[in-house]
Amino acid sequence: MSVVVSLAERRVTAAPAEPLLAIEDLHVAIGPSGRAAPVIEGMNLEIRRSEIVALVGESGSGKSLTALSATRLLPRAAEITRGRIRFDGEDVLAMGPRALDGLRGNRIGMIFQQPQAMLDPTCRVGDQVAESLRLHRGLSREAAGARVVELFREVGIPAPEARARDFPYAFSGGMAQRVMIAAALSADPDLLIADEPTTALDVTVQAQILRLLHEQCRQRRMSLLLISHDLGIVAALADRVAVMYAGRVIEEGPARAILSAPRHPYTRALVECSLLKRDAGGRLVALPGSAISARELSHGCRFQPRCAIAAQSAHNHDCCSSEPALACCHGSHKARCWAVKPEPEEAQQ
Amino acid sequence: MSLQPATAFLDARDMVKTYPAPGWLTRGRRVNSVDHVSLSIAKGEVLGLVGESGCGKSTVARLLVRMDRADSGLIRIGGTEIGGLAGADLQALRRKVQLVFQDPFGALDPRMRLGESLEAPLHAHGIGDRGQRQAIALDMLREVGLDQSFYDRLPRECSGGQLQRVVIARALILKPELLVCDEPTSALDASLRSQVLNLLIDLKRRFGLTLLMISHDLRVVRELCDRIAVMYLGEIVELAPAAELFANPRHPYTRALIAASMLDNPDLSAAGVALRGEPPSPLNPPSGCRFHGRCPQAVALCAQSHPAFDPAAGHAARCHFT
Repeated sequence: MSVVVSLAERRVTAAPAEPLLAIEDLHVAIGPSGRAAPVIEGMNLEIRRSEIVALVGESGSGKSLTALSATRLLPRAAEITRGRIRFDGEDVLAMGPRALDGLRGNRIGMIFQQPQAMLDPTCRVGDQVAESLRLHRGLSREAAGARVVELFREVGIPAPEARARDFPYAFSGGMAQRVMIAAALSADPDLLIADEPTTALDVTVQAQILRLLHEQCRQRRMSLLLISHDLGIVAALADRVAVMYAGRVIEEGPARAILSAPRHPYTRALVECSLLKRDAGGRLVALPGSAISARELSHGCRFQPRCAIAAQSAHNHDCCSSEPALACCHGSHKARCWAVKPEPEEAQQ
Repeated sequence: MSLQPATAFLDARDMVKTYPAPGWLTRGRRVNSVDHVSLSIAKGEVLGLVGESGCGKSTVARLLVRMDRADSGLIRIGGTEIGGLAGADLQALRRKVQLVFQDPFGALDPRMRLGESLEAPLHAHGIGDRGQRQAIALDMLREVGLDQSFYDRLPRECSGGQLQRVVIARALILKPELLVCDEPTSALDASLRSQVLNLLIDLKRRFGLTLLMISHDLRVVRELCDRIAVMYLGEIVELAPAAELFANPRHPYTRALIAASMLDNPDLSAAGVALRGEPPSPLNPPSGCRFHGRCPQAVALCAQSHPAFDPAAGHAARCHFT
């Protein structure tokens, strides 16, 4: 762990002040106009150069839509209704089709949960990766083919020359994800967005893929936005963690602080769930109920219906009537909860 | 009956299942999905079966509930040999043994109200009249912690965790004695995983269930199981009481799995080091010990001779070095 952390810290301190990706006050709604329901409301997220940021939350919390907004790849039913997205100083929301083509693939690479579904079953795997090299980089067929073999070697695919000529059915889930990573890296992007990259994989392969992502980010000084519902998986990889609930960030901060001293009751429950902690009665700690989406919301804190603190504490009135702001609790560690008080004297560790 | 221990509710010996290999290049060849696997589960026991995808653990589940027939081997459930069952006897087995799948969205008909789905097994077995079936279904919904409004809901109106509760309710509605859960929580978020696991623990106690828990996630089986069997390429490579397996794993594959599941301290630099590559194809299983190609301790002997395994031992491991 110590090696990983020290490298991570060096990366952060060397980064310039201007973030690579800045999402400000993003609002996204889904549905026909007039009856569109909000799914993301007031989302803020910054990713600095060569930083690994994990975006964590339950399904439906809006983490994938946030990532898709950054590349303007939202499904047709969804629409950005407000907010600003800047990538390397440029306004993404004002970009035309040409500029977007340059952004997607070239500057922002993406990988997803189901690697097999991303590959055309009727084309050789190497040709599919080469296609993006020829499109984005203008390489010749031969040069692209040679580059694919190099990339396959870099992402740890054994016998890369032979594997490049195979069809997707011959690839296991883990190997297919390596192909997707190779394809995403082919254009040398500044930012890689990985949406649940290991959820469909076995635990043994999960660890391998996470290590590969970490290595590649370090070597290429590439930023990574890692989206996952499992805090345990992002723990060792991320510099910073943002926790999303019902369409906005409810806690963010350095990964170590979030995992060892989570402040928001939701994050605390997530940490305990992901470690399968037991309560005093010997039962696994579980969150009651299921996540609400932003559209079901009335007033007050979004987490209040499931929150143990809101149910008992003196804050009850605030929790039900108005939503807390994302307040600083220590250094860059922020939480959106009425029960969280800033603690400047808290020990650094 | 006389051959098995008096307490074994399920006793499977030497199960073998092969499937025809997919694709025209490998036409005529067969994949050994399950290769001489023996398992027993005592009444009221929870047995965990873990392994990577493709190791044959789901095939074991299919054999035990008679969704598929074993090529050879004996499977006894509650004293009855299930391989040759047909007609009414097979119907009777279905009431005793039920299965919970991984994906709740795929396990429920999207156009059927949840109540109808719940009553389908009762209907199939001719239990009760319409009113009684509805009463049983509503009762079962309560047992799994859902209110009556779910009876009239469609699957798309529910979350994955809620649907998995319905799937569990449907599996339990016939009051089975053995419940086989094939990755019951891997399609769920971490927050819902604990809910569903708690539910399974409660129901097991209340209904006196015998459980087979299949998972690729050691963290999950550790919380739930009395004994754990580790499977690799169609074979069981280690079998031990849960606490013993985690305290003293004997097979290098088990050790690697434990390291990779990042149990207590999520630390990537330790995980993944132990295990390289992915399982070889079951179409061409390696000679000797099937794990030798990925094993950090393999020596020449491992490539030549196939280690033995004694499932009757309290803690058994299929490795030359135990």
